[in-house]
Amino acid sequence: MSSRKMVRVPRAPTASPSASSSVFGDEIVIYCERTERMHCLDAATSVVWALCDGSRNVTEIIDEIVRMTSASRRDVSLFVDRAVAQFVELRLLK
Amino acid sequence: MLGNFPPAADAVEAAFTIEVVQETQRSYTVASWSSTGALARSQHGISSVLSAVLWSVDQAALCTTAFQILHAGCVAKRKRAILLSAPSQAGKSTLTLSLVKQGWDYLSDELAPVHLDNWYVQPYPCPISLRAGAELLFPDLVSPGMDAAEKRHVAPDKVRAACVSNGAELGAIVLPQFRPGVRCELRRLAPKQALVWLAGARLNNPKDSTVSSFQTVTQLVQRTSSYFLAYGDRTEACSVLDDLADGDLRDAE
Repeated sequence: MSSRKMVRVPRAPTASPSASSSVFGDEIVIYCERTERMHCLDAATSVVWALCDGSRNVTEIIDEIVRMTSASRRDVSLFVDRAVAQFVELRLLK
Repeated sequence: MLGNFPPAADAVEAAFTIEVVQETQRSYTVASWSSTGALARSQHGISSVLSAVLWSVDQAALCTTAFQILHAGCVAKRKRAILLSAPSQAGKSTLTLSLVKQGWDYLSDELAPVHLDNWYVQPYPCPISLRAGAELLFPDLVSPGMDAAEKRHVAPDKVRAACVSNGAELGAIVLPQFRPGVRCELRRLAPKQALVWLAGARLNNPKDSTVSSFQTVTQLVQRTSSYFLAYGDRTEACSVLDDLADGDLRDAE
């Protein structure tokens, strides 16, 4: 049995009002007022976070990144799913 | 302590509470809490208790202003301020005191109120609080008859007459770290590294600000050079900061 936790991903991921983010070059730092924790995202995860603006579902975020990069859809899909699940676990999404 | 004062007409609830509990004959715990957090500190001797209470009241009052309040020391040279932000025991207060002794202007040892319009640091010239034993580093400031609390809470005018600045523009952020035997090194920090450090020093959300204090501190580190200062010798550290003030900060004027 997988030990991976199941998380409920929002239909159109959007930043929680308690999450403030700051952009430093191609990286983003997020501070969550609710958990009082700070999160430094690498460049690739920052792209996913930036696309979590409530206007796209996860499939559309994957489409957008596939369009922007030369990575395979399978790789992008795995990466985005994992990143969004982490955002949910860290309570960074609405 | 403030019970004799009538509450403001629009006050709906106590915004801040302080409790002092005597644990033993000379040992007390001062606890303060508000909507933004709680803090409890052990104190020895009644003058230390009064200092802790005063600090808590000042902190609570300042945090309701339009300034961004940071837990940091602050000194200035030629009207350019250096913010010294560090966790306890990192040598912030001894470094602050040493710099003031050497001619730097004093703004604060504990709380740095930063104005969001012009990035000026207002003075909060509280006594400089040294940890137990650190007063031995400054024997010239100790007089016979002083009790332990007086030795450890040094009034700025005892360090140098008229040393308190009336405000200075923020020139640099320095994160000092004292380690015995370490060679003095000043290393430039990327804004992101400085943010990760300085975000933990925020004490309030400035009143009437349209952005969060996290965004304010982001702006602060994006417009101000930040450095990590490792040092094992205070004289060397002062000399390095003198060079910084005479070089980079002067060039930025």
